[in-house]
Amino acid sequence: MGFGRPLLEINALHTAFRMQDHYHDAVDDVSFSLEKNEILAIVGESGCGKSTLATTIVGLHNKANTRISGEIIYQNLNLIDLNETLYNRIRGNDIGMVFQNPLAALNPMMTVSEQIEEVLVYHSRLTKEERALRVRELLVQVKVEDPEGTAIRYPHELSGEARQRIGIAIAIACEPPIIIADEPTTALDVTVQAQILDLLSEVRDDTGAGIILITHDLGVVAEIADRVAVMYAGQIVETAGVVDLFTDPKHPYTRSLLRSMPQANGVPGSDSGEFYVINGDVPSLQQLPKQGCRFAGRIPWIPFSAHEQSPKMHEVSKGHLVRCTCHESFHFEGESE
Amino acid sequence: MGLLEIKDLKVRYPVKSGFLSDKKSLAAVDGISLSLEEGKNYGLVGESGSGKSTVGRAIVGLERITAGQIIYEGSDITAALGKRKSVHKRNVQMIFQDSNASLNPKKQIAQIISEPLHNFEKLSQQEEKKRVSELLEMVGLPQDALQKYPHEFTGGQRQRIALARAVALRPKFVIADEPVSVLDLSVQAQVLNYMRRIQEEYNLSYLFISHDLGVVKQMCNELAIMYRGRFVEYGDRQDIYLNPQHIYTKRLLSAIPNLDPVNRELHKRLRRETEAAYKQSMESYLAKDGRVGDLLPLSETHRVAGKPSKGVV
Repeated sequence: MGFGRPLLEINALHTAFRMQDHYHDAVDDVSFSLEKNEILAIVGESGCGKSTLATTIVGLHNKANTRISGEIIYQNLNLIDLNETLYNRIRGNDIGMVFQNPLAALNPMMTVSEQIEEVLVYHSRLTKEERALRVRELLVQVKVEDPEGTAIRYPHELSGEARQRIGIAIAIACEPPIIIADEPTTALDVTVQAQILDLLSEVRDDTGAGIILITHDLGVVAEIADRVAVMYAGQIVETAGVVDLFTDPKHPYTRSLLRSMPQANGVPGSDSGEFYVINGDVPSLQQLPKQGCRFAGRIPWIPFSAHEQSPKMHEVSKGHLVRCTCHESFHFEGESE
Repeated sequence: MGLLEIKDLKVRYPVKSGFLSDKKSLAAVDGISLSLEEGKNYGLVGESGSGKSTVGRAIVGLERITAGQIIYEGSDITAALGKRKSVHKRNVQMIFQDSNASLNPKKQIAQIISEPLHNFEKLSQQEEKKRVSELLEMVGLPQDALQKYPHEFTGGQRQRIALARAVALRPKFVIADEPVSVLDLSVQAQVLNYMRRIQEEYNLSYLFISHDLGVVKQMCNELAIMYRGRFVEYGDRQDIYLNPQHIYTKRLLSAIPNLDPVNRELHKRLRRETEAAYKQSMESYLAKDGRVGDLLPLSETHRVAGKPSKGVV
């Protein structure tokens, strides 16, 4: 933790999409900060707004049908006020992004070295020779097998693992202080996933970058994150240090999610007994309750009075925040408090 | 003797390697044997490209079998796999990973679920209707779903529709190829619960094909670990999870993320040690041509691919 302001500070961020002449908040009142040298995981299920949050931070939304308000403060600038030209200077240079599907994120018509070099052409004043040197250095840094051979290949000639390593090389080419990784390992085998996660932590250790890791996988969170923000239906419902989140989860959603995980570690479970299922479905964007706790409908056995009218984040211990008061009286259905 | 026996199954794909060159082929499945008994669940686990899906597809006749036999209730049905209607087809059904691709987007749910009934059973319209709504109820979907189309459902609901179709004929076996891997955690649990309930009601067996050792652990009695089209290890849950013998199995297990952030440095160290051991010794587990050795018995339930040099590991 440094002095003064954090690396990135997000305050009351809203991202609303226009659907049939109405705007719906996909990201609703999200606030958090990212420090240098920190891996912050944003975890949630599909449709919770985690990817929208990522694309909002890097300014990838079409302004014509998206309404964004709030603050994304980076170096005393509010990024949402920037025009495209200024944003282009930040993207790639100050914020690197790693995408879920590297085959879609990489240009199929460009060789590996060309696309890594492209970022340097935009953002650096390196000469052609210096750029070639840097590309080679990056390929070694992300531990691609056979860096020379890979450099002249096209994305379709590479394995999924190598492609994601290239994706990371592009993201870190300009040594950005912030890296956003959106489900970087979801499409990969577990053994490869472990190695890509190792690489991300090494990048953090080497460059001191702050990394926002967007994921649906609590296992990944437990392996690599320092801090966690859990999102549900567009809102952050809980933020905590990673140990606190797993040993002392508070919000009913976090607790339910942890309970529904099929466990692969430890002693094999018994055959009987069903997997824990969260009651009901995630509300769609158009059906979000306008008021009250958004998780209330999925824990109907908890009395309505346990929820706040307009749920706020409450600090339960240092650095551990929970939305709504319902966690105080929450218990699983059929169990006592 | 199992109800469904797979003997030395081989599936090879032709590989074109250039003009006038020899016809080459690639072994996706290179000699595996499995004996599946009634009422038990089996897991087939491996990384992408290991050939696990090809095994499932070959059993239901979606892949041309190069060599080997598939024996159902004692009779060899390998040759009959290409036919549209056979007893085996009726009793062995499949659920696919991507319900977007496996459900016909132009058909209503009623048509989708009744298709196997049309093919195999002579039911009156009324009987068919009754059966279809029974099936729908069994997977927890409302009756008004019948007139809807696949795109009107969520991924989890679509997978339940696929499940209803797969069990429409009361099959003995359902091959489930990564049935929940694209679903969210809370939805995964729901689909797996339906699969369990249906199993209890119909007394059927599942063959789970998965890369996720978590799901398989909770659902399967016996597991096969696959690598390059061959089995490297076979055993019950205790054998595989608590007493893995093959370095490939150990590596696969060590790579599973641990939900215990307090001990993650320890976990990471163990994983790296296993990875290093794998890199160092995997070759010694393989024959010169890179082929995995034959399975050799360790105990009554547990079999491990032998090291070509030393026999059993």
